[in-house]
Amino acid sequence: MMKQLIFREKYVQLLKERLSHEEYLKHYSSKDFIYDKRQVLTLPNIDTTTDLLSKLDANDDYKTAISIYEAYKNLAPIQASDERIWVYLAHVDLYPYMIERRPEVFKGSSSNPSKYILDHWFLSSTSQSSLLRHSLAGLWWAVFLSIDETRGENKYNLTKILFRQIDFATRTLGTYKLGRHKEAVLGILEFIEENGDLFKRKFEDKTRFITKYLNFIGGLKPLSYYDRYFFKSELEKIREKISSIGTI
Amino acid sequence: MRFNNISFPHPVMGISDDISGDISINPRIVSGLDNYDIYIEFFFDNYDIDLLIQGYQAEFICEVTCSDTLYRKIIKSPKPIIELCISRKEVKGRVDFTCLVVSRQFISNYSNAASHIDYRGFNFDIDPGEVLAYFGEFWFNADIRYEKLKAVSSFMDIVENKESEYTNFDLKKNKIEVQLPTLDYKIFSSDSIGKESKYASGFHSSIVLNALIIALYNFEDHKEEYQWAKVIDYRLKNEKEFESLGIAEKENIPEIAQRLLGNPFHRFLETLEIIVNSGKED
Repeated sequence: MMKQLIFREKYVQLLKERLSHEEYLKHYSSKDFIYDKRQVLTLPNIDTTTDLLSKLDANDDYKTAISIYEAYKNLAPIQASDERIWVYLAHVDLYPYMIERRPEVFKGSSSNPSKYILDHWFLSSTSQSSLLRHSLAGLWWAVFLSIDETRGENKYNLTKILFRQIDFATRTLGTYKLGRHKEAVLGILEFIEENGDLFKRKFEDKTRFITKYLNFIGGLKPLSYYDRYFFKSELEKIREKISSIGTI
Repeated sequence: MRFNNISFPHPVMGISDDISGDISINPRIVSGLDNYDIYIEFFFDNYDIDLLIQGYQAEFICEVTCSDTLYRKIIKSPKPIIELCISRKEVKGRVDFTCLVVSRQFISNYSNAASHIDYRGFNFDIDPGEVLAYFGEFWFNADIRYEKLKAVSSFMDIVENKESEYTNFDLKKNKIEVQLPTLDYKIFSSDSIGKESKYASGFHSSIVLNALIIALYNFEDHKEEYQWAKVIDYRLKNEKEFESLGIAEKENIPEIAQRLLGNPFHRFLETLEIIVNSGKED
C-alpha cells in the first residue's frame, strides 16, 4: 500500500506565485498537471486509495464527499487543515475530478483564470470559511462535521441533508462559529430531518434564518455548552417563524 | 461569545461593574511531545455564586477553540480548577480559552448581593448554560514550539540561491530566509565549517544578525502573517530582558536583535580569543 504524498510548503507557495504568470496558467488547461515530483513529502499514517478517482462524481457533491471522507478518514484535524495535502490532491491524485468539477479554466471560459484557480485549487488561509470553501477540503470537513456514528450504517443521513443545497455547508453554516460545534450542526440537521415538510420550500432562506438565529443566541450563551437537543428545542420554539418564511 | 462592551440581561461577575469583587484565573500551559497540558485555577470572591456552585446549580467551564482545525470543546468542573489535555494533532495556530461560571440548571429568582445598584431589587430567571461569571481569556500558538524558541532555527533558515551572486533576504516566508549564492552555500553547509560549533558565533554575529535586523525593521508589516514574526513577538512579550525594549522605537532594534541572539558579538570575540590563545599554547 502506498503512502499519501503531499506538496512541500515552499512548492505550494511557488504554485500560487506562478498563477500570476500566464505561461503557467496553461498547465491547468491540460489533462494532466505537470509538477516537480521532487517537491513532495510522505504522510506516514495515511495510505492512498487507488480507485478513489473512479468513485468521485462531479455532478454529485454528496457522493464525492463521502468517498473522499472514507478514503481519508484517518486524517487528524491538524492534517485535514493543512493546505499541502489538499493542494496536492487537487493538482495530482484528483486533478481529473477537479477539471471536471471546476472546468472554467480547463475549458477556457473563465474571465479571471488566476483567481478561479486560487479560489478552488488552493486555500486562502486555514480559517474555517476557507477550509469549507475549498473544492476538496470543504467536502471532507462537511462530512466530518455532520457524520453521526451513533446511527450505525445510517451515519451519513444528516450529511445528505447538509448537501441538499450547495451553499449550506460552505457559506451558511460554514460562515458562523456555530458551524464549528458538532452538536449544533447535528441538532440543526436533525431538526430539518424530523420536520421535512417545514423545509420543502425555501430551504436556502430557512436554513440561513435558523443559522443566524442560533448564532444570535450564541452572543449571550456559550453554545458549545449545549448538546443537539438544546438546538432542536430552540428551533422548535421558532417553528412558526420558520414556517412563515417565503409566504409573504 | 464576545465579552467586550457587552451587557447581559442579568448581572455577571467580571463584566464591567455588574458585580463587585475580585475575579481572576491563573493558567499554566505545559508543552509536551504529543500533547499540551493546561492547568487553570479560578479565583473569585462572591458568596451568592459560590453558594450556587456548592449546591451544584452552577459550575466552572473552560471553552477551548481553535479556528484553524474547527476545534471546539467545553471542559466542566465543580471545583475551581480545570485540567485538560489537548493532542497536538487536534490544533494548529491560535488556540483560545474562555473561562466562565455557568448555571447547570434553571435558577429562578437569582439575585446577587454584591451586584451594582442598578440591579438592586430585581430578580432574574436563569436558564441552563447562562453565564454567571466571566474569569477572562487566554491563548497560545500551537505552531510555536515554545521549548525551542531560543534556537535560531525557530525563526530563520539558510538556503541556496542559484540565481544570484549576492545574498538575498526573504521575509515573506514562515521563517526568515537567508538565500546564499551557490558557492557560499556550499562552503556554509560543509561539515568542516557550517556544522562546526566553534564557528556558530561567527555566523550569528554576521549572517544571522544582519538578516534579523532587517527583519526587525520590517516587523510590523509581517507580524500578523508570518510565523517568524509571531515567534519573535512571543519572545518580546514574554521574556524579561525585553520588558523595557519596545520594538516600536527603532533605536532599540540593534539591541533587541543582539539580545535575541544571546549577545553574538561578545560570543564571537570570545571565540576568537579562545582560538588565538589555543594557537599560542600550541
